Amino acid sequence: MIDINNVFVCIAAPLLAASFCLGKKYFHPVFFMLTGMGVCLLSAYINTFIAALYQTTAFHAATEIAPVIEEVMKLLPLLFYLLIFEPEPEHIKPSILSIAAGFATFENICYLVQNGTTNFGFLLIRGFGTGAMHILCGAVIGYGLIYVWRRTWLKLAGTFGLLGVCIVFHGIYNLLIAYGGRIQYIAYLLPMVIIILGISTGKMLLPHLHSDKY
Amino acid sequence: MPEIIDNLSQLFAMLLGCIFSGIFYLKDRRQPYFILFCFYGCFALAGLYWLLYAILITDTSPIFYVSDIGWIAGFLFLLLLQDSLTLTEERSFQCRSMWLAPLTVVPLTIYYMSIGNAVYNLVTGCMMLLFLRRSLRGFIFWKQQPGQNRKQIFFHLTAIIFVILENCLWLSSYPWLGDGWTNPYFWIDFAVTATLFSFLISVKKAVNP
Repeated sequence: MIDINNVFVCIAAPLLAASFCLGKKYFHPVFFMLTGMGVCLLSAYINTFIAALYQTTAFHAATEIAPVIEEVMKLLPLLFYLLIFEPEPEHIKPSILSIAAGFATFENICYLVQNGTTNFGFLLIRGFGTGAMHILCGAVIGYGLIYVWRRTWLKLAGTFGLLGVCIVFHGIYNLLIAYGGRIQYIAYLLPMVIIILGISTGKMLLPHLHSDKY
Repeated sequence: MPEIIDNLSQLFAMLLGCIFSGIFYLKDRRQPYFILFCFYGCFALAGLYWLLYAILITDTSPIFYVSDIGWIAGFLFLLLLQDSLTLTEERSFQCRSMWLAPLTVVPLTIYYMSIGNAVYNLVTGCMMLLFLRRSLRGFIFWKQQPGQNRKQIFFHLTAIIFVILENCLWLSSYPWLGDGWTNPYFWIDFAVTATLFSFLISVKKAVNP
């Protein structure tokens, strides 16, 4: 049996040491990435606990419990950062994207530990798919929070709304993957296609956008 | 089959609403359009999850449906939309018709909680109560305004119709009367879809003078 805590320590220790040596500029992204990995580890424990509590199958745990737990856990460190440190809007997006990248990296490590490393083609698609999904959810939360946290009355409801969007998107992704077969490849491709479309649309539209009227 | 057609039509309508409200937001940069975009987006994603679950899994979920969270988020954005369209003098306006909201929603919520998921129905019930209360207040307030300046009355009317239809939909879902076209559930759901899409028109009327 492989203890996933030890795997986490082995990855986190050199990164943490490097982040202290790299200086303040690089400390934040590395620290948030490590936070994402730690949150992924915690989510795995909570997922297992709740699945055992409800005595549910692995399929239902993946499609119903995991999306809720993982998205909430990813948001918590960001909320802590926003409420305690009150960062500038330009610091919000890199923070959540780093958390999402760390989360996706550690999730892939967990997958490798459980399922082995033989099928390179599948692992390549899965790696990009999972990474893109977490990054996409992170981007939705990041861009969304920049918008909703500017308006006091929109803060709470807007944050929950964005969390809801991410949970449902994550749920759809997990549902398609848990179903298996050819359908799971749609799930792996979907976030990548959305990210490409989002970046290209953003590049086309951003120069023409102005601030809100009310 | 009717269930798939019903869900597909709702998903299509929500996606269309999402696209149009997004275009309106990019054109006019009005905040209500952004909130409407989020509302349609939440409903579309929740609808997509529900549709995929119905096609791929078929049996009922033992825990809860992830789409419930999407619908709650959608209702939350609808409340925000209503709040963003409310004027200061409208907020302080009081009328007896507002009591119709707790009189109808509270007993229905207790009934839904007794037959379904208690937490989900409680949260939705509270939001429906608030939404209906504000809609009734807004409708009476704008009805009393003199002249042609009644641009928001359509939004409140749509909101009241939506709450009525949504409750009719939930009431018709239990006991389940079969998967055929004779089940009134599907016809009420088509009406709900039409009402949801008409929010786009009523918000456009309310926002643009």
